[in-house]
Amino acid sequence: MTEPTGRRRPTRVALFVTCLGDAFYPQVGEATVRLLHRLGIAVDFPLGQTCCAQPAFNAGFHDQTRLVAQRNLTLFADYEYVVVPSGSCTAMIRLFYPDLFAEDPHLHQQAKSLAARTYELSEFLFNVVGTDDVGAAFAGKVAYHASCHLQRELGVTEAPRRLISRVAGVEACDAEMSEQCCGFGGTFAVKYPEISSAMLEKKIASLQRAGADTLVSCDAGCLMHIAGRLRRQGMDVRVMHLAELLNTGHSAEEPHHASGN
Amino acid sequence: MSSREAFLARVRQALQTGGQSHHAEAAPAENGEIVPLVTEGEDLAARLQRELEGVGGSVARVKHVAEAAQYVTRLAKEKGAEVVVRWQSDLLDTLEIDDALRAGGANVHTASPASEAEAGNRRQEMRDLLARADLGLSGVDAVIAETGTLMLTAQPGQMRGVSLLPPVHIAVARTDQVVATFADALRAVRQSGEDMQQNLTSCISFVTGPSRTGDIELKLTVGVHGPGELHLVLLDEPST
Amino acid sequence: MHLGTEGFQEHARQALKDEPLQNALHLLTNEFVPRRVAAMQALGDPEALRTQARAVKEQAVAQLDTYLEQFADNLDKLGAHVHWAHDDAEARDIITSIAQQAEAKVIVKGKSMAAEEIHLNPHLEELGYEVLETDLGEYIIQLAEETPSHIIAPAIHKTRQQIASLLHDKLGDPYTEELTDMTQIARRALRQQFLRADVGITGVNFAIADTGSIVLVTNEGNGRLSSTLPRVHIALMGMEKIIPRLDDLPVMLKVLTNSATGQKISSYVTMITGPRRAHDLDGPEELHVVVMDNGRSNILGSENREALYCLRCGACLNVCPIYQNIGGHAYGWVYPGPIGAVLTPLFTGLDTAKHLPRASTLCGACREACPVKINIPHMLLNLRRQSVSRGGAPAGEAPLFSLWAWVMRHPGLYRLGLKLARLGQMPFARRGWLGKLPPPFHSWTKSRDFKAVAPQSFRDRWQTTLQYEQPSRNGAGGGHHE
Repeated sequence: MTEPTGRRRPTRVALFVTCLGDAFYPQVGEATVRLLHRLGIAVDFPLGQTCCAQPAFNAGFHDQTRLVAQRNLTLFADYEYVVVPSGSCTAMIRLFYPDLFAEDPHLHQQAKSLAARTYELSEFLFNVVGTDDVGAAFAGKVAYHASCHLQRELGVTEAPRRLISRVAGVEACDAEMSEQCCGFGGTFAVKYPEISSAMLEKKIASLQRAGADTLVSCDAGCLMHIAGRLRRQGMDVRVMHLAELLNTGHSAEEPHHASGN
Repeated sequence: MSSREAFLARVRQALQTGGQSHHAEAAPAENGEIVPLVTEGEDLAARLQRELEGVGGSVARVKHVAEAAQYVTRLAKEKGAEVVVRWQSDLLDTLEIDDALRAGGANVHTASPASEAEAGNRRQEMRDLLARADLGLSGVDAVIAETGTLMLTAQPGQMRGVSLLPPVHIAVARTDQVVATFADALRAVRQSGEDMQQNLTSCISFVTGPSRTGDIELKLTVGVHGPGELHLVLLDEPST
Repeated sequence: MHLGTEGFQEHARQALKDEPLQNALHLLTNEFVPRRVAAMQALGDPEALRTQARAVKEQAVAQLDTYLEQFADNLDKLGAHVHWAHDDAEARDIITSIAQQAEAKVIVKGKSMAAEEIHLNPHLEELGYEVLETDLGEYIIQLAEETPSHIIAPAIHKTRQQIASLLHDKLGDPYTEELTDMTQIARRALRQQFLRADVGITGVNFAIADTGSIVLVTNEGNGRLSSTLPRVHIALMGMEKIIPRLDDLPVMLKVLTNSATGQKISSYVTMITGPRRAHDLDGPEELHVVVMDNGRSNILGSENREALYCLRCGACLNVCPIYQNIGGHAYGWVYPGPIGAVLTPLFTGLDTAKHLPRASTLCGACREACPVKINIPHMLLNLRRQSVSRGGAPAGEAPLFSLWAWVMRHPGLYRLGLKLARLGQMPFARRGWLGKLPPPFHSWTKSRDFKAVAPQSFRDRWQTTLQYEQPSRNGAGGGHHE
């Protein structure tokens, strides 16, 4: 095993688990912790954390956004790395926090600092830790859903695919629409349910055409959206967060079926 | 109506308000291109042929003026052309094509410029002819290999309508008129004289294949307004 | 007429149920998207081209006053007439007075989004002019008395059969579904009008400052005919159509046609430099260029300036998962799709068009497809913020987000919230999912299940077990990539 050139391997990170991860997908945070532990990286979980504040930001409520976001500037101030198992929340912190606090030099500085230290999980593994093989094993035909903010705001496209491809037993079967939005969009799914559902239908049709039995993504929001429809239709497709996939073969907790828990 | 000054004053005001870091300086791309689609040393005539045929044009490579004239005459006959309108151009003159076409039963009319006094009548006459012409015959000012594009400038003997109104357009070009890229064609225009606005003429038409539309179910159909057929006769013999 | 922007949700619902429209959108998605992607790839370095194209627009807009002056001076030298229109009414009046002076009866029109923007046709028709759209798609739309639904393919929402009936009913030709025959029917009908027309009106794709040229990019040849046969040619342009130099044209053309239709170049690119010259045998006697502001200076002075870089190629429509599902008419005004969701509020007012910036998942496919890299999702966010600060948020959202922010700032409350949710969902949860949610979230569960709050949140698991687990000493696993 060789160290990536010119970079010290991280030994300690803070986990920002996100509000969706905390409330709905605790197994994602758990898989993230165990995965990082396996790689020899200690994990802290600042208990004061709640949400990245994206819902308010996307709805246009910047004052409310700042109230919530500002806490994160302080909570995560002392960590060299903040790892987030979500492309969307990472994009919020990295791209929009600095703009939100542009008026206040001190907070702006803090926001820029946090932005520079915050990584989405797959890019952290691939770019910072420098690994694409975490020793996971999983038998299945896996389609990857590239979540929008991850691929288009953060530009992370290779990392998750490489990590998936190195999981022993995985047959990668990318759907032809793997880069197409699933129609979640936060409150969009509630405000414009018909359009959102039509988008989701197309996404699921492409999954079926690809013959995938498992869908993997890096964002719990998309997963909840896609799984919610699969379950409603009674379709037997497993839906997993990347962290869960990368922790298979090691965890007692087996991945859930859409029609399951 | 706003005056020019009032209009521009609002623009200036907005530029100030908008401010930001908007003092962009873009240098034009070198040679007007980023990556020329034509590779160094590529056979330009072959490329031109491939590109133009790719968009539904036809290209005939001929060796001599006589062969060019024969080709045009045969095509005119095939199309049953009764009225032909052509550019006045040295190249077309050297083909000595009018007699051949007439022998084939077509009336040939040349867009020859008229004196100032007669120009009005001449325009009306040519317009009426073009409205019922079966075939338009033109030269070119340049041909662009990377896209298979004819460059046609509007000049007193080079009517725009010849390449536009009749259902069939035949253009005759010499291989030494072939340039690699669109930017090269513009460069040739620039170098043709001191005054750029003069060089540009009132209208340059860049023509790439027949008139086409995809407006019904995105299916390609040709000949909707302009010619449904475009034939390029490419003459290998250099100008003398 | 346009549907208007306020009824967006209802229009979208109707569109989703409109089967011919859905088929057409399916076709559009499957045709245009791969065509553009393949075409851009074939350009060698599409990224470099986009960067250059953007730089050209940035410069043109940043020094718009200078370039407009240069452009106008050059047109003056050529003997063309330049007119300045502050708003839509002025633009219509200018065009009307030119038509009056020309004693026009018949006016032919090439495709122009700017003309759509000022509702030029109804205005001229009211005044008694016979106005004919000549782009085949626009002509079909005019016969059907509708509005375009796509920037590049205006009649995309109509099926071949619908168009066949239309041509038969309106023109009296025998019914045919043969594309070639249908096209020839339109050609014959319109050719007569071209020859009768006194005035031709076109849009402008590029206005070149350093030569005073205007460039029209078309495939059918109607732009050429409109600018060649009538005695008077009027070109109507939004003031942002300027590019600084003739030398910028090759790159701008390339990104435009490849993005719009996947063509290396369109069938016709027409560069017009002044009216016909003394000895020319055809071409218009008079050239009028109408430079229009109509709200653009407001955009220029705002944080959404880059909306003015738009080339109207339509690429963002084709890749947009919203547009792909609802088509153009639902957007309610001239410009549909992602760029429409930005332009429409900027042109017509954010208060009525407040749905448009919100009806987006911010997926960013538009920005990726844009030949000048317009950051549409971030502008949508700007517009949402502006809408909220003008009191335009949907009812109930303001107190909801204030409550939300209060809870999220107090982890204890947040935890309590989770507990309450767990209690509340207990009777309804089935194996971790909810089949029904209460308002205002019930719309989710119309078509999808919703995840139940987990019995144990992550922070519970952390506090009970995870915080005591240790990283492995040797960092097992983690083979390094190169």
